[in-house]
Amino acid sequence: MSLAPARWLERRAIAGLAVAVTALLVVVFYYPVGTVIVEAVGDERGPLAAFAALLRDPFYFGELARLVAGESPLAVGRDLLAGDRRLGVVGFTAYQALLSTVASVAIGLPAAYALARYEFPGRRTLRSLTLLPFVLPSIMVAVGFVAAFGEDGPVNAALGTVGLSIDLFTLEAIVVAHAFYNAPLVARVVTAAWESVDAGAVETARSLGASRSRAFLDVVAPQLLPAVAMGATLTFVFTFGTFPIVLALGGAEYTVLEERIFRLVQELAYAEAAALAVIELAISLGVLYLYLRIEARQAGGRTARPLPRRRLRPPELSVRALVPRVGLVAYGLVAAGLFLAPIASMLGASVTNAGGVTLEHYQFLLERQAEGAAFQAQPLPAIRNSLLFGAGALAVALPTGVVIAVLTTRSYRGRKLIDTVAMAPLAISGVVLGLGLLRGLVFGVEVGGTRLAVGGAAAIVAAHAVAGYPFVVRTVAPELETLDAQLAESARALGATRVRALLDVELPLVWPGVLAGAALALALSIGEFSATVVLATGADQFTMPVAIERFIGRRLGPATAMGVVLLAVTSASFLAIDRLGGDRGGL
Amino acid sequence: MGSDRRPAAALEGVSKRYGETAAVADLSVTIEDGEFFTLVGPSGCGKTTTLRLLAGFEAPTTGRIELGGEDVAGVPPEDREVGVVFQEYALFPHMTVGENVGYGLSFADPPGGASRDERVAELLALVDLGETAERDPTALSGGQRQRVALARALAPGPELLLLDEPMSALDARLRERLRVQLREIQSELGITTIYVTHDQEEALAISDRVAVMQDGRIEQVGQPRELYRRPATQFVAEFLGENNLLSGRVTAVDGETAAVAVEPPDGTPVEFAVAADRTVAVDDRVFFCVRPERLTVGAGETENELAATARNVEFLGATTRVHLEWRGRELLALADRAIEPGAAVTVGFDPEDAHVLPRE
Repeated sequence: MSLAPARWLERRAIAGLAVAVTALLVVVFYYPVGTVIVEAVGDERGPLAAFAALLRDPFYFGELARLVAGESPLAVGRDLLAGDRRLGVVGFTAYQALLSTVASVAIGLPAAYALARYEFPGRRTLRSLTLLPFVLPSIMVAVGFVAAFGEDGPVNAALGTVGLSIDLFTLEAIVVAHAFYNAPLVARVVTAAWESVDAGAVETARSLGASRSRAFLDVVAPQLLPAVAMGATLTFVFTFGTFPIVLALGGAEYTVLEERIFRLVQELAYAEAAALAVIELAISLGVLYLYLRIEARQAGGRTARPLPRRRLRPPELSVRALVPRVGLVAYGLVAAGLFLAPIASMLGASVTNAGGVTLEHYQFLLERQAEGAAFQAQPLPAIRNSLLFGAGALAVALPTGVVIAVLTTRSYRGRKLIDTVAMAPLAISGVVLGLGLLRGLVFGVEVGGTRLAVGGAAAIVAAHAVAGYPFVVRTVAPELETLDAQLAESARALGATRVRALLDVELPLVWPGVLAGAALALALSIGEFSATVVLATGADQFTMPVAIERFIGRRLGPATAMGVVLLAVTSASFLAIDRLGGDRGGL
Repeated sequence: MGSDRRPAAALEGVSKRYGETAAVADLSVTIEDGEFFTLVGPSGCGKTTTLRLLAGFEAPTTGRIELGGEDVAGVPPEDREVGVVFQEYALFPHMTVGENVGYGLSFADPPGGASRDERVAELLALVDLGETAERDPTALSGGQRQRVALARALAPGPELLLLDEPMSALDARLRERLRVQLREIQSELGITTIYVTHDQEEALAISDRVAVMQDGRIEQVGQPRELYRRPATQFVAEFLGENNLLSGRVTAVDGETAAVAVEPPDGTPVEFAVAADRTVAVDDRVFFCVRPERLTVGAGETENELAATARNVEFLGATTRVHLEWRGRELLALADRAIEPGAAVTVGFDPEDAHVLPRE
């Protein structure tokens, strides 16, 4: 059977795309991260000397460093239990991540209970909103927390009237801010698991004699635990790689790994930065692997009949009906405070000063735009850069994510490995990725006598694309997975090549997932701070989050004003993508 | 058959293994041009895998598949010129009925020089859905969707039509009506059709030839009547319709009749005269089977008689199924009159209604 050249190409389009995506990931992700690892093990003192030095350094590993140095485990253990123990940078990073994980699970679980088991007006909206904190720029949230919990903030003023207060620049503030981010994530994952519990299984347990609580423990809880573990492990990975929150809220007292690596990069101490990055990477990848293992064990499939939702309004005035509902309402008030206060405070602080309502912060932005020096962060270039980088990152992340989703949907040998390799960016923090791109691409590679290097802007787009595409995969792949495989097979039998079947049949049907992925990737790019601040070579490459960070160092007002601008741009981008979806259904 | 036309499809020693399990094992069969050929068997017998191998959705582990006389190894589904209809129809939900039917015409010109729209209208008329082109397929009934799927598969004018249990999601009455319509369309177009079903009645009713499959192998291929009357194996005897299977030792062979002594659990052997339509010899241990409709209720009407007890009686309208116990064995007979459970019943059969199975 002879084929026209176009048809020949079409036949190989999927394989071609797979090769292109692999090449892209190698260039913008695996090679840069590889250079960091090579740099870390390439120490002249020996391959592991850099790590050994770090492990023995109490600055990084606190009391545990003495263990590596050969001290008795008993003595170290005793000192670790003492009140004045030293955790070191790595120890503190893990400790705050652990506390943040506990707080996120504690705050997320009641939300999951309410969303999965109760019916109330706005439930669906609220469920959708659990995605929102995730895409809010972290530096903006940090500004919000400073505005809310700072000395002049409204929350502390209110708490002060009852004799309480939360100190900014403390571990508590960091943990609460992390919970703001990750509790909704926990709630989201656990709600989904709860909704997939089959009511029939619970009813069977009850009919066999199990009490309400026994049925919950024996039937429901085992199905929720993996989801809780998934939410917890992801939270740990994200908070372990935290940077902007601690930068803005931690003050001088607390340093996390990302910040330390960032400082080392600024001091041009690349070898130590690389070694530290590899240690961070190893820990994050280890936990992410755990996550993937739990996720793989999760049974898929549709639930015959989910548990019925109860009305939030109590059906009768009994203890049994009232206690959980009153608890949920109380929880709802606290949660609303936690989630609304930072945003509301930021909005409020942007239009007030000590004297009352003012527009001076926005005026400052305008003046800065008109008169700012070349090295200073200016609002308009920052907005322009954010949108340009966002568009560029989206243009790369969306096709990459879709292709990976297609390649990992069908089952074949080695699929798990490809899945894991493709998801690895989830475990790579922005600073480490930025460091890799800086050393690998911006500084350039020697190929056949010519030095190939990319500019900072291209590297920033690459970093944002790498951070964004896993989310496209994660929104598109599940939809493809549930799509009837026979739809594509029917198209094939009717004469469509694999790629035509994808374009004509599969993609139109998973379009909502594609849009959701696009919105996520764009929002993450616009809010990205860590990699950008590493890679931005000058003020002309600053994005909105970087500009906020520059402002927050001096005065809160302009930072909140810039934060409001960032919030507006992010929301507008989200809406634009939703609009693009037209009648195909939005987010 | 017996013409010099090339077979429409042929499988030679085809196997398909998934890890350790063989879904299809060393399968060889030839399907003639214009034939309505059915693969029937219990679930997991490999019939759907065979269809998927023919369509090109799966590649055989070993063996050779020919379509229209050409080896199709490595030829992707889109180049095989096959039409496929799935059990759940797999209509594209984001396209209208007309767009569904016309989809395959994006890749091949309509046969006979018709325009795309003409061809779509022609096919929809063929399946009695003339007015539905603009409709949303999700708004159609199950039977209508099934016919849209058929029209869609036929539109590009494929050489071979592959149907994977296309009726099993429909209720019994509709299924019977649609299978008549399907057979009429197939005869009208003369298109070679391979049909997969687990429903033995459907297989017998619709096909030119039937292949009974089990454990990835073909047990027997033949015309429906041939398979029903002369099953080659115990599996075929019991899978196609209902059967009474008895085993015994050949005690005498006399021309076209043989005497077989059946030893019931209670000991005393009983001799039956059966048609010796196979080469049997004295002392052979053989199985023979008698269809329930050939087991006549009432004494003195047949050569072989059994004194049995009615255990369970099911009135089915046109007929009555009588579950009998005969000396510790269960037998099934069809009766045209009412029988009380517990009643003593004499049943019998003529030697020509007993079919001796070859030894396995």
